[in-house]
Amino acid sequence: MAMPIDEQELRSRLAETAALAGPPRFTAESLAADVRRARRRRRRTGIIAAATVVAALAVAIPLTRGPGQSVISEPGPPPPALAYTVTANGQTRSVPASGGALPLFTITPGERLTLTVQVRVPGPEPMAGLWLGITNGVLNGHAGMKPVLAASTREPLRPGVHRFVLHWAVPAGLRPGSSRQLSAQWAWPGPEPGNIEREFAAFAVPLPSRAASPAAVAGRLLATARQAVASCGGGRPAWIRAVRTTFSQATAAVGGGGEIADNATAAVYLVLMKGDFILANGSPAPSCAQAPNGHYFSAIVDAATFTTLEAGLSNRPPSAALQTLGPVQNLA
Amino acid sequence: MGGEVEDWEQTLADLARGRGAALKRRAFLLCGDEAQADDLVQEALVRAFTRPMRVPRPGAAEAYVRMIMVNLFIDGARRHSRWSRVAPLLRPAGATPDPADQVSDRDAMLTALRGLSPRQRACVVLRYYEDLPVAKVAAALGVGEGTVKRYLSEAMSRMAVQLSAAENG
Repeated sequence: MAMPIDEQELRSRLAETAALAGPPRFTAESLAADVRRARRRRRRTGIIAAATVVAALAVAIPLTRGPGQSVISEPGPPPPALAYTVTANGQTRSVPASGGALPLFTITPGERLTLTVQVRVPGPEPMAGLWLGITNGVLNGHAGMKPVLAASTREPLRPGVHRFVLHWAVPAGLRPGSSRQLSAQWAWPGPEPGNIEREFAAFAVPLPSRAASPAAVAGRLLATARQAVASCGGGRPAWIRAVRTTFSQATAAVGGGGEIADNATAAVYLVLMKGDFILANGSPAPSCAQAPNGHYFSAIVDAATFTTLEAGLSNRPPSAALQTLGPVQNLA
Repeated sequence: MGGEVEDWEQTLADLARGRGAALKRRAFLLCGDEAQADDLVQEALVRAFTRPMRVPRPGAAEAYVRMIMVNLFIDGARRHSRWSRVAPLLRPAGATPDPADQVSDRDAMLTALRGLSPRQRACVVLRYYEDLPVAKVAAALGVGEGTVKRYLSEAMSRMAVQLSAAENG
């Protein structure tokens, strides 16, 4: 009788087997050319279908904008972005359509939370669908939301502001330091239909006060830093340092802060690591997908919940030295 | 803000250059064949970017491509299952063996994977190579969690037999 397979051994053997694959034979350029061809085919199909309808109705609609400027070569309109406001436990956070830092709310396990979400649908086209639900760090479509708190799919969402009142029972078993996200997926119709998914807000269970001791904080930050590096497949950092500051100062130091955040004065830790980070192994962590690389890895971690609010990579150190933000802790 | 064309081209280029090898490794586990793995990744990337999209964060593009890869692999395997079974019989005598075949001779794991059905193989790759929880595997494949557990159990039994035979023989 065959011996059962040990799961850890299976993982390791799969990784070894996967490494037998040679380098990809395709190039970014050949792929881009294939995509352009596929897009032209799709547009031609759309135009032929539209032309058939036009001919049937005997209505003349110009299909080109001018000499030599055909509809086929016209790039499609950019996907619509949503501006939104989330209110929870009396606190309101707004994020513009251009994006911004993820609003963070603290929650208590077992509480019944009432959330008000206002979404501004940009014009001129309506949205085909909108889903709002709770996710656990991974975006996987509305099917991955547990639970889906609202689904607006029967009628198009017209341009303008739409208000949703949502009720969510926070799981009683949620441990201190863990978090969930309010995420949204929206779909748009038209000749270039599509959909986008995005986290709207994070909800985190605060840590008990004993976790605020310097040793406990250092331990948490170190674990967060190591987890970030490990999940992204990065190399071992030469050093890891952290400083307690405000969100706005931290984002300004690492080159962000282009937008005004509601939590600008919130206490955070700016964690900075130096090393050779090449985020290009077979990590399942979706946040590493574009495989950036750099010598400096920064993470902005909420001081109350230790939720990572922002993370970035750069080949250059932060514009402001960590010492200028406060006392620096050497974590490793 | 850059134009839409520049955005997708940059995202595609970053994905292909930075994650192309990782996607190929994953496809290789699914297909068990170098050339098919290249084709699978290429087709998934082209499909993902044919319709304009704006990713909410960098990871979304890759997650989307990974999902398309699994669906293409299962659909393709279903379409070509009859062809695959008879293909070895149609290979002319004396033809140069595929380098991937030589790899499979060397690697018992690859042979064991090839002995699984496409859905079983997809479950094994998603669960044990990508470390996805059963619920996520079920969502990716569009089946129930119980079905995934059954596929995994069957796959593990079959692979145990294959691997034991390879180690003993």
